[in-house]
Amino acid sequence: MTCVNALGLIAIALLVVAVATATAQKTDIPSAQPIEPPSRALGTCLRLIQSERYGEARKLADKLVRDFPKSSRACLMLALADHKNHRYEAAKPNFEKAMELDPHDRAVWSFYGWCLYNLGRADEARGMFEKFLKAQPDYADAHFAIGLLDFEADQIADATTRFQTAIRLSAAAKSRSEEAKARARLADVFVRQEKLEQAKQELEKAVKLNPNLYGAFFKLSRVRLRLGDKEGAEQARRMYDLVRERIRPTKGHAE
Amino acid sequence: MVAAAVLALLPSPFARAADIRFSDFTQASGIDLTLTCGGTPSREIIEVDGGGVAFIDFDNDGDWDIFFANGARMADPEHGPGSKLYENRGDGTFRDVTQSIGITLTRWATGVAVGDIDGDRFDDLFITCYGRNVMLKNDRGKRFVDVTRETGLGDTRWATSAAFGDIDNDGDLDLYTVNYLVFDANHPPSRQGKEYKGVNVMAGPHGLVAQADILYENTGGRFRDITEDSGCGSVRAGYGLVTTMIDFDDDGRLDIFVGNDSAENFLFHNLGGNRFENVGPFAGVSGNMDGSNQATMGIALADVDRNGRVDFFTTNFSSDTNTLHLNLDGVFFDDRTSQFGLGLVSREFLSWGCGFYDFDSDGDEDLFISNGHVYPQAKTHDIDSDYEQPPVLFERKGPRFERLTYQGSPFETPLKGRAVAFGDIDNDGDVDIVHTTLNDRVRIWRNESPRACVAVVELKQDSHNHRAYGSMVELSVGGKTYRRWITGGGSFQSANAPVAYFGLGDIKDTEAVLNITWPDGAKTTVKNVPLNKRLTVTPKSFQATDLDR
Repeated sequence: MTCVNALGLIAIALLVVAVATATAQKTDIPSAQPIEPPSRALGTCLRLIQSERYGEARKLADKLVRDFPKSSRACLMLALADHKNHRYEAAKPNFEKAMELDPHDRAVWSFYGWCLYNLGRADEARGMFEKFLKAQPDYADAHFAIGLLDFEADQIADATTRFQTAIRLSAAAKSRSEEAKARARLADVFVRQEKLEQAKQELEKAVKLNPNLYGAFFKLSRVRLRLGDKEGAEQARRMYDLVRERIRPTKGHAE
Repeated sequence: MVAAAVLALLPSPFARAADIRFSDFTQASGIDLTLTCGGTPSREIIEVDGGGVAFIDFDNDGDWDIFFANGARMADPEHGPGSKLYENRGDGTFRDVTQSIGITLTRWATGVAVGDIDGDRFDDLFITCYGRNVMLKNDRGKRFVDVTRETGLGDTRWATSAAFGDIDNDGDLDLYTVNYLVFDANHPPSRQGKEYKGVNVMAGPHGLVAQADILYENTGGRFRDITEDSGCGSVRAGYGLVTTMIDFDDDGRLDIFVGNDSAENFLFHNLGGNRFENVGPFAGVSGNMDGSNQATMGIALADVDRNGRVDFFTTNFSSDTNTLHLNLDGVFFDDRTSQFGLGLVSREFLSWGCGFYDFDSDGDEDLFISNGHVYPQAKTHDIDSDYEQPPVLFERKGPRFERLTYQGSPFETPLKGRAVAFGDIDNDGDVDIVHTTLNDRVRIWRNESPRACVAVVELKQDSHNHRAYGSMVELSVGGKTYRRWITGGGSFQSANAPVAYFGLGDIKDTEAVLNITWPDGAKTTVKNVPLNKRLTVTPKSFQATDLDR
């Protein structure tokens, strides 16, 4: 779900690139090789990734990288084709290459941060998200990611602040799914602190914001159980089973 | 209460500079064994698990002998190189006694459980197999006799792990066997379309038929399948890989945990009268904190947060994390993997056997994990995880675990790690490691950590369950209490030495008290416990003998 949001960000960025490319093509010397691939090709690649046709996406992105060796966007597409297929180590060098070709493309930093996170490289991931936030302090997903890293490091107060910031920013951006996942993780913090009532409230808000967040239903079931609400727990558990069956999530990738 | 919990997580008062050291003692040990599990490279799921290992004192001479469950090849699953028994010469070196003791098992063996099934005070061997399971009775340490037929334990499903325990408190050992899936070596499933991260891989477990486990009640040396009657058969079969029997709620009855591959884990709560209810989802151990099922391979038990209750640590697949389920109150568990620093760090590993032991005897338990991928084509570049992976040793440092590496460590070499068992092979009071690999040499890693104060506690009782599986051992010293559990099993496909090992750092001249809770709930207190000794405790007496140090 994190990546869905980030893919949205990429899509917007691609539009910008598309406009920029069109403008550049009008003014460039006709014989000059454009740096970026046509936006249509990038868009096709993106759609293949979004529809989980990673093999085809990779093949197309690979061609784009070969045809446009100085294109950071082509490298990013190649990286994303692996990243979204959970092949993070394979994605890593292409994220790095994309950053090298365009050191100012914040979208790459965010994806690369998640890539490092999924490889278990906590310090490097944190560095990448912090870099992103320096450039764009109001990006909820990066606060959320650092919150996860704080939680992993057992820095509970810091994690709380990060998740609360992510909630505030997501709400302001009217991104319900982003707000939902941040609330679900804030609930984790509350559970760790044995603040079960607060955890329950966050989880109830989370599943209302995003009824597909099956993990939040699972947690809600457990919190309600621990609070003695067996009926409510059973209800949440049923929703968890139902949503999970429908979504059929990839193992180990709750985010 | 919170303050007490925080205090409990502070470094041990006896802590000294961490100094865990192991040496590769394989060659010197006299164990030169390569286990077989199908061909190399593995092509089918039957070929990926390797063989189990068990500590057993088969001759009751006071030192730990070692049994290895050995597999075979798909072309002839009944005739492999054979399982092996090694006798400890008393100094941590071994000799192969397989033939002389009458063990002729060549069937594809997978795992092993150790228990005295007939009350003769000699531990017997139950061996899980691909094919008919085998029960070998220990005839007074002189020979092993196949009593599979007489005991009724010859189920033919592909079994992986097993554990003994007295589920009905009648004094004898019952048995839980974990089954994996339906696999026909003559007609292996197609791998067409089977992908992991875009890489074509072997088939399973998803798409193959899971096999139900079996709970046996010991009825005077013959075992009765009570799976259905007990309620253990009411669950949807998982792809079982590991089990342990432990009283997680301190109600005086042994419960059963089952770790399943890519499916919900089970926690069968013992209701009494040989009735069980799966409370895994309710308790919170069926998956991780996000409600995701995991591919549970191994389990380790310890009181990690020192609240007096047994916590579960499970090992899982790569790109997932291992999971630490803290036992909050005997009813609910909570996934606290990240709190203890065991989460992200485990993502690159596919982990198997594991164990919590105080390897440096500094007063807190460390964690050892065996690693290795199932897919021979696994490369970091393709699937974020290599085929051969080093084992990982985590040292407990205050409230967290930290991965320990040091120059000269035998744990730096990538291996196809699988089963592991823990015990003191040289009677020096610290815990050594016996490690198996897939189609590769067995390793013996001897603990060379600097000497520190220890207490080694073995239990004996006058019942068929003579090693008192299911007991809890508490040692109170210097204002702190340490707990260990004696179980009739181990981590993945294996059996650890049923001994409570306590490390106490530099403590001197401090009065120690042992409190034993026996399987039937009876309690024994031993005051003025001598330290740096091997203590054999019975319900009415105790004996201290010297360690070889």
